[in-house]
Amino acid sequence: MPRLGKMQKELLKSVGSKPTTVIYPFTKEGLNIPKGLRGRWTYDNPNMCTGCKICERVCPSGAIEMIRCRPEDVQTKTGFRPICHFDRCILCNQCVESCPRGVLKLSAEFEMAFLDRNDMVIY
Amino acid sequence: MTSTSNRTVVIPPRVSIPIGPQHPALKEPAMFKLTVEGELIVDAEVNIGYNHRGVEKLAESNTHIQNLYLLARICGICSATHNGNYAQAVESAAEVEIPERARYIRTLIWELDRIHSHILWLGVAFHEVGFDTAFMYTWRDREVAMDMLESISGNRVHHDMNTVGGVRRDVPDELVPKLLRGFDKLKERMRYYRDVVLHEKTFWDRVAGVGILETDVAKKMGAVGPTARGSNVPVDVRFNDPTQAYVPMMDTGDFEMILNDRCDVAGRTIVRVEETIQAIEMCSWLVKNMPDGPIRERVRPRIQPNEVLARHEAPRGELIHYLVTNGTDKPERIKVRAPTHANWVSMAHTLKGNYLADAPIILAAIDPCYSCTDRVVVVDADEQKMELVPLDVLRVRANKWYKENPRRDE
Amino acid sequence: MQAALDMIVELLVQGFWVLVFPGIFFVTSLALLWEWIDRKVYARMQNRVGPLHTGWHGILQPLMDFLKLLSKEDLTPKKADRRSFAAVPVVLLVLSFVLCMFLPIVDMNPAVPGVQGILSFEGDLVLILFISTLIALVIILAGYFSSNPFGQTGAARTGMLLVSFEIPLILALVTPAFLTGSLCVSTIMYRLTQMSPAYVWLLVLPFVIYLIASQAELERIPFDVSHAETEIVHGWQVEFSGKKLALIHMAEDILLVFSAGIATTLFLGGPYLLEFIPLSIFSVEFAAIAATTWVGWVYYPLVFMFKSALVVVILSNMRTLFARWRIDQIVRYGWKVMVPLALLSVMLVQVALVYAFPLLGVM
Repeated sequence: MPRLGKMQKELLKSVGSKPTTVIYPFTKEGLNIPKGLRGRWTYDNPNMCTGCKICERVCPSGAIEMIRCRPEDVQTKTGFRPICHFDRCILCNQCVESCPRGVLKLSAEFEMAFLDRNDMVIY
Repeated sequence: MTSTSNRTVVIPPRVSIPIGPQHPALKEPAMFKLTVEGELIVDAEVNIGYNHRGVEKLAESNTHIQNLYLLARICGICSATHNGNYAQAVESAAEVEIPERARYIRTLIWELDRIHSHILWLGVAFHEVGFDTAFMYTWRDREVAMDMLESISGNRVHHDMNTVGGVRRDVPDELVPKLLRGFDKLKERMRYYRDVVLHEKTFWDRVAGVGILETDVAKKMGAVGPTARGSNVPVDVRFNDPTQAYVPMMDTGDFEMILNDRCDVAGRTIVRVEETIQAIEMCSWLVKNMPDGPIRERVRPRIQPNEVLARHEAPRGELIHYLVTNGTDKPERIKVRAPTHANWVSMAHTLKGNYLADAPIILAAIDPCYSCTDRVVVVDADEQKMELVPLDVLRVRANKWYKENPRRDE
Repeated sequence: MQAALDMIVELLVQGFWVLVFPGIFFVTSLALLWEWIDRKVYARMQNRVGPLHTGWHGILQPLMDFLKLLSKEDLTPKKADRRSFAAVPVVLLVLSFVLCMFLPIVDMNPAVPGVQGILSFEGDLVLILFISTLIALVIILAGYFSSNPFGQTGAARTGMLLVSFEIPLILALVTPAFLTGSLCVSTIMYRLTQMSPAYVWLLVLPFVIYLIASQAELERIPFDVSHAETEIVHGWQVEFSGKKLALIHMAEDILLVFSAGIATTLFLGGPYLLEFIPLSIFSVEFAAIAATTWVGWVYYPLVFMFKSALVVVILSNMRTLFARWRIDQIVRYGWKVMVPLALLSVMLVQVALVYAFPLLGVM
């Protein structure tokens, strides 16, 4: 039997309890970030990289690119290292999975806003 | 001044109101031109195609694994269904059997996706009617489902759990109690929302008797999903043609197809709410009965030449992926038939005879996802004209083109 | 010379009253404050936070919204009638201000017993009802002048809505007038406070009817049809932008102040709170102090604001609780349920006054 005002008790209960919304940029608690969050890849073991470029071929959006090591990087055996075009990355972590030597690792970094497009290339 | 002898009856003139490409009622762009007489809708014209992105063409130049990610991003709400259905298609083209645990995890993600999609729809239906309070409350409770999906797959939308040959991530054992607690909480909240839908007079007045789609019209127009089940047409791929872990689930006999014979928007609402409660029960069953074992199997990247059709019950209806492979690691042709494509022809029929105020809730009742539905518009740049191409004309033209340009590796 | 100086001082004092204290500035700040209360209550009941960052807990947010709208670009559609289109917001604002002049907030005329508003004369209840009907007419014209199918549909719906709820509103407001035998708002309020408490029971039903009818007159959920966002994009306000929209929103808020104010005046006993306590220190001595000295200038507005805020909270609760009805359902419920109830309450009052109360010995 339909009646009016079915949700009234729920409304009054909410007035007394804490709001569910999280004031995100100012605090990060209440976001429930889980342990295995798929974030950006990180370049963890540079000395195991063989320069096979499997990660570059497998990436669905062309976000990872192998370049020659610049003078300020850790020099690898082959002289190549991957860089991340963060504006194209879709956080799928297929590169982490496909790497045969375990060079790349998963991290929980997901905040990817920058003011300039050139800042989005992460070395 | 008119005299009483020659009285004329004044019919309100017909105004054409566009619920146009941009409108607060629509989540995605589509064009509905409604011809209105006062408040009564007399005629409706439906135009879609604003969201065509060329996904099928793009998929021909990607490998199968890259295509999994591409197809998952066709739609944000039903992303796990495109992902899983394509993986299913490639596995049946390669004729491999995936391990048992992988099937259970894939089905668990599918059912969790159904839960979150139906709760989203319920919130949007409340918003279209003007009941913003219930919109906020249902989306608050949807966060429980999103948190569960995030702890299993690592991402709130675009779960990307599947790969060719199984799933990528496992459900660890310490996560199981948390999942079961989340399911209990969700079930209790969904029962409360079912009470709100049925008993709140201001909402029930808006959806009862509105947007009627009779059973035989639904069958004739080929409606699928909750749109058809709310009109008492028993189509459901999970029950008619089960794959993956639905096979042992149907063998237990605990679950039944949910039908409703009200044939209006209220019927579809009730079907979706009941389906959410059933999906929560299915998820609990899957988590409790999950077998141990490996979660993926190695599949060689080159798939044998084959032609398969994979079906799956997305939250909106029956989703079909048609896949043609040649011997390489890239597909030859993919065709996606989204459930909204089968449902939107019934929209023009259900809009007639209702008031203008009911137009948003009727449009939202089939749960449209225009991103899934690609429609081809042929633009002739030389002659400066544009035409909308209906499906059979498109088929004739496509056959003619393929006959004139034979396949490259023949 | 002395007479001229007296006249100038008198003019300045009157200007202060009309423009600043219980006049335009005070009513505007009350309007912004009630909008803040409305938004905060709406958000809290939905388990959200509401305005938070501007000022203390977002109390400056309505002011910031008003200023932001004033600075936006002001477009007029080509087919619209320019002068009438520009005149509508100004007319709405002026009419709302005039309505608020009748509210007894502070005692303007200590010679007459009871708290008088800035404008107060015998028969001003009729003028108030007339102006609120005029506001309904201006809203219909506003939708028509936009020359936009959404605007015209919104105007048609508003017409049906406001016309079908004018009658319960008028009957509900006229019931206290029947009870006290006067048509002046301040006199009704004063006589109601002098009556014995048995008459309060007769005012419950008109109060409920008045709350529902004013929710419809203010076009809030569940009677939101005229600017239903998801159907006709903002209804009769669809083509207004910039300064005109700012003035329209301000006019709507001032109408909220007025509705809450009339509810407290006629049904909740006006700006008297402590005088109802039956100890003689409160009901006689404090009343005398408040009516004659500067204490009244602080005490009466505070009590008025407190009671109006209560009414605003009740209206916000009603707004949170329901969905939006369709226009034909609203018209059906308006004529089938509200009008008979309003007539019933008037009949009850007459029966009570003429037959029942003399029988029971109530004065």
